[in-house]
Amino acid sequence: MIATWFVALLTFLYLGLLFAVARFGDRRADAGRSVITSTVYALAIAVYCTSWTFYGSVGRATTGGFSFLTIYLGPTIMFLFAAVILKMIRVSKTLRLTSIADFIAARYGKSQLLAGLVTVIAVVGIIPYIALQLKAISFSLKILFPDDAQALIPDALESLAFMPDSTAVIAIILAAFTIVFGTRHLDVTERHEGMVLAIAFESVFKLIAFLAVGAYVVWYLNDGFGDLFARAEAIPAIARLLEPESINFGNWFALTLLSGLAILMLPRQFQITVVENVDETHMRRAVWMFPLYLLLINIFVLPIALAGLIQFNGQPFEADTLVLTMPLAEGTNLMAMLAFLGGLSAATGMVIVETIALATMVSNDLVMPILLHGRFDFTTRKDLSGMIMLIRRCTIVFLLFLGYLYFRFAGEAYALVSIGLISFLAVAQFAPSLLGGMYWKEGNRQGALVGLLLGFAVWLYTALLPSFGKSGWIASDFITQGPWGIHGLAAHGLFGLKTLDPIAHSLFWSLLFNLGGYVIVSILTRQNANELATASQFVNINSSASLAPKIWRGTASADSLIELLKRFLGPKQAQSRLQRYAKDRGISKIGELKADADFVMFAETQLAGTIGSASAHVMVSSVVQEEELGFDEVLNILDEASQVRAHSRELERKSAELEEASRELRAANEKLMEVDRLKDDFMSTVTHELRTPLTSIRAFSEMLHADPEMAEEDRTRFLGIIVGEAERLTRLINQILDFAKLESGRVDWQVEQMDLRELVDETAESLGQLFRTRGADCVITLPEDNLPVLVDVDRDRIKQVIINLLSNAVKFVPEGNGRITVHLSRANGFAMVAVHDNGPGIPEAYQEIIFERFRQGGNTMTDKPQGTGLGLPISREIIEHFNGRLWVESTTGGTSATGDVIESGSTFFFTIPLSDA
Amino acid sequence: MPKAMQKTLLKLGIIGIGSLLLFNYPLLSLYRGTIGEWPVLYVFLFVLWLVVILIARRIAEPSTGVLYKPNADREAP
Amino acid sequence: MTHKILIVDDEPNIVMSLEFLLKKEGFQIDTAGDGDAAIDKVRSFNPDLVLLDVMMPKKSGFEVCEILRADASLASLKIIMLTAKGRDTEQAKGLALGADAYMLKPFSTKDLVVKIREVLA
Repeated sequence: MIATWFVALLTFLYLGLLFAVARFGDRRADAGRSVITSTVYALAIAVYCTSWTFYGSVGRATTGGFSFLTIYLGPTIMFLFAAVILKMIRVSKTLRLTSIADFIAARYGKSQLLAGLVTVIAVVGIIPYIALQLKAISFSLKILFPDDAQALIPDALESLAFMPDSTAVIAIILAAFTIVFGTRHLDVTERHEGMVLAIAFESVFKLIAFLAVGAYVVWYLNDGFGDLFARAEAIPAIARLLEPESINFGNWFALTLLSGLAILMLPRQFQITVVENVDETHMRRAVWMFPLYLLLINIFVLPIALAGLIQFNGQPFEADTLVLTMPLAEGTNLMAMLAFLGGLSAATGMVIVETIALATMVSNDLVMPILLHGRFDFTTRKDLSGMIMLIRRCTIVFLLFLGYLYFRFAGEAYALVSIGLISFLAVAQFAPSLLGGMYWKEGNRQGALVGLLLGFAVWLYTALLPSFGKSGWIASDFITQGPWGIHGLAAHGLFGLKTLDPIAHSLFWSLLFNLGGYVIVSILTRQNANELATASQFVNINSSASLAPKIWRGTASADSLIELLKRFLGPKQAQSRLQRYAKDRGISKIGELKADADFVMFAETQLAGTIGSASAHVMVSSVVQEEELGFDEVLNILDEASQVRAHSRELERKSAELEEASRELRAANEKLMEVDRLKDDFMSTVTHELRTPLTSIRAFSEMLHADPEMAEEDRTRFLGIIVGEAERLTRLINQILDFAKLESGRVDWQVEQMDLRELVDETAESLGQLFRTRGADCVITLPEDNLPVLVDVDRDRIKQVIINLLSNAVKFVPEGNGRITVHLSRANGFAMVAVHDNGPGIPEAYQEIIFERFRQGGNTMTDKPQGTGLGLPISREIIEHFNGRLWVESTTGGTSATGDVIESGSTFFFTIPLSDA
Repeated sequence: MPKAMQKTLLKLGIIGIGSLLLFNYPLLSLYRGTIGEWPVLYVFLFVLWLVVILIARRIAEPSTGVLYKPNADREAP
Repeated sequence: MTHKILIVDDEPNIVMSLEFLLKKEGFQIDTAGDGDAAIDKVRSFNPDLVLLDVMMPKKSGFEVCEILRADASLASLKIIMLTAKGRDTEQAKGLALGADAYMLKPFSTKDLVVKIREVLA
């Protein structure tokens, strides 16, 4: 028999040790040297394993075989979806969120109503869980001291009438311990590094304890795994537990899902995993180490259960506390003590973290908002922190009190695990709004409210109330028969669904109503402006610029200031200014800048230019000192000042679009300027061309007019020039107009079918005089077959082209020795006309230029232009209108490789498609 | 988010989905009978669990562990 | 005193008309058909005033003006620019380069003579 005092001593020693570890952690944190490593973080998450794990799993295994394992497989799988957890961490860090109620409320437009609702659900939901821990401790005490129900109360006081039972005492002790442990000071970031360290220590302890007991049972009390399994297989009733057939797969999956959600939604898990996270990269270790922990702590569960089943073959026994009863029965008191301490440790850990998390929620998200509404006076900060402290402490006491009450009124009927699962079900109600909020932008406040309320209601009816019913405190008919005999509303067979066990059943219906309500209402209603911004922020947290540095330890970092600058000056501006600043200080990389007073000043002045000095100061201060002023509150101020309501992500997208658009605009503008320039050139060339003959005409006219006595020969000469220039002018104007008409497509084409042979003949005839004046020969060759060359063209226009080509030829042939040939032929469905002259030829460089407006063959720098320079461009336009081509082949002459003389000359070709007839 | 981290998270997520299948019906119903004296279900569940954990570790923290040998062993070129 | 005027233009008809006109007004005239010839003639003929067309092959009137003005010994030489391009920028450019006056084509012969006398005064 173990002495009471021995147990008490060990208990207090252990609790004292925990306390010391926590103090150590806190002191190191205050000194700036955090003790939280990735391993500590991963181990602290194992606070998930409470006395439920220690006692309850074994109990569950004796009746349900492997189903206990789902509670640990779920979290393993959930942690593999580390992306989800990481996103939760990022959002929380960016928005300085301190609890799950905070998180959900923030997502849906900072709804106080939502925050309060979540808090209430959390509190109500966790009460059973707390009761479970109390039950476990009380049970274990009963086992240690079976004869003395009031073991913990000193004999002297036992006789007092109003003395509470041992469990109440335990509750009181736990409350006191938690208060001393976790509410000594307020931290703006709501982090408790000491607590985290202590919890990690506690996790290691309970693992060692459980492994020790397990090893003891397997290898000391029995002959190893093989022996246990063999003996188990020998008993059919037990062997069946080990087969998959005994598993209800619906329940298996439901429990896996449920625990997977719980690992995120339980307030204590959210606290450790999200709020207490100091470094994102710690997730890397947690992802595998926490599941490893779960695996290790579960290895011996089944063997222990089997040992118990074998030992008590057929007889009923209290399975939950096997880890205690077995060593005690053998008289191995030390092992029993270890088991007891392990269970106690597990329970204590849970209570501490859970109640602190809940107390934070109650004070921040429930009580304070209510007080705020009541226009409470918040002038002095000192009063405020004291008041918050008081609220939290009261909450802790209240929670343990309620836990105790639940234990008394509902805890008797259920095995430990079942109680715990009721709490799981409650917190699972947060999943749709929380997870939906992170991945579905359309999820809105009304949807979340409706979903939560529906889910909570279903949970109350299908999970919580039945627990009261089963304990006899209320009539239990409604559980199986339904209220007032309405079978469809049976609490454990809602709408006739009886194939699932109560937990799975409750999970199904509550999530269905919750998720359904959330989705449907969100789709049917609209979000307000506030929500749109936060929704975007949450969903897009990974891609939008975040202001929070990766390590959140309340120190100023240059990174956050740099981000600030980038956000408000634009990335390029910020970059260049920062680089200059860095260069001035001889620092090569911006990342090496320290956030000293200088840099802060610099950041402030830079920002002041954009958002005003007052706002800049506020912004920088809040980032540097992490004052109570949250970033979003500051933004709101600035929002109102600058009337910018769009979220930065939208802005970034818009500015990217804008850049693209302005780039296109710039390109178009340049093209326009080019065209404009060309137009200007055209216009100035045209005006020049027009004004030049006009100048002569005017000058000579004036002179003739002014001097009636002018010599006859002068007069004749001048009049001749006037006439000539007038003609030149007319020709030019006509050509310009013609060209303009062609270019703009305003020509009236008179298309008819005609024989090109006749056309060529006629045209050459009409130019006969021109040829003779120049002393040039013109020879026309026609196709040999003597058949007509039919084309569909505008007669005058084609004549215009031929005249142009011929007159060009005449212009350039050597005087007296000119030879021009016109060759008409057919080829590939086209009619082809080739006009050849033996003039000087056109250098290759100019062979395309001559087809450009106002450009003439020959060196425009040295030769005086002959003609307008529009003839060929016009001809080309005409020919191309009829789907033909106009080009030139020309050589300036020279000597061939073989020493022969090559004559110079040019041949202009044009083709026109033959008529189909 | 850096590309490397995205890839890691994606790989982990895929393992997660795989685990959902591995540890549930219908695969679960296959683990029946015994190996020697050990129930298959027991062995499989724990062994697979360990394997998944080790894979996750490999993905999330590839640089730690006994299997990693830094290049210090090699001779200088 | 008879002033000497150099006419520089690449259009023969215009040169002819100006020659006739100004000879009748009693000036001594020489002509040049392009920029280079103009500069040579300035040195050889030594005119008091140059009528300078802008649009010319080889060297434009602006270039010639620049070259002439760069020569300190020709500081007293008057330059009147003639052009068919009428934009303000062209005028400003010409005047900035040192021309004494700028006339648009087609010009009134009377106006031209008046301007010449003005400039020479």
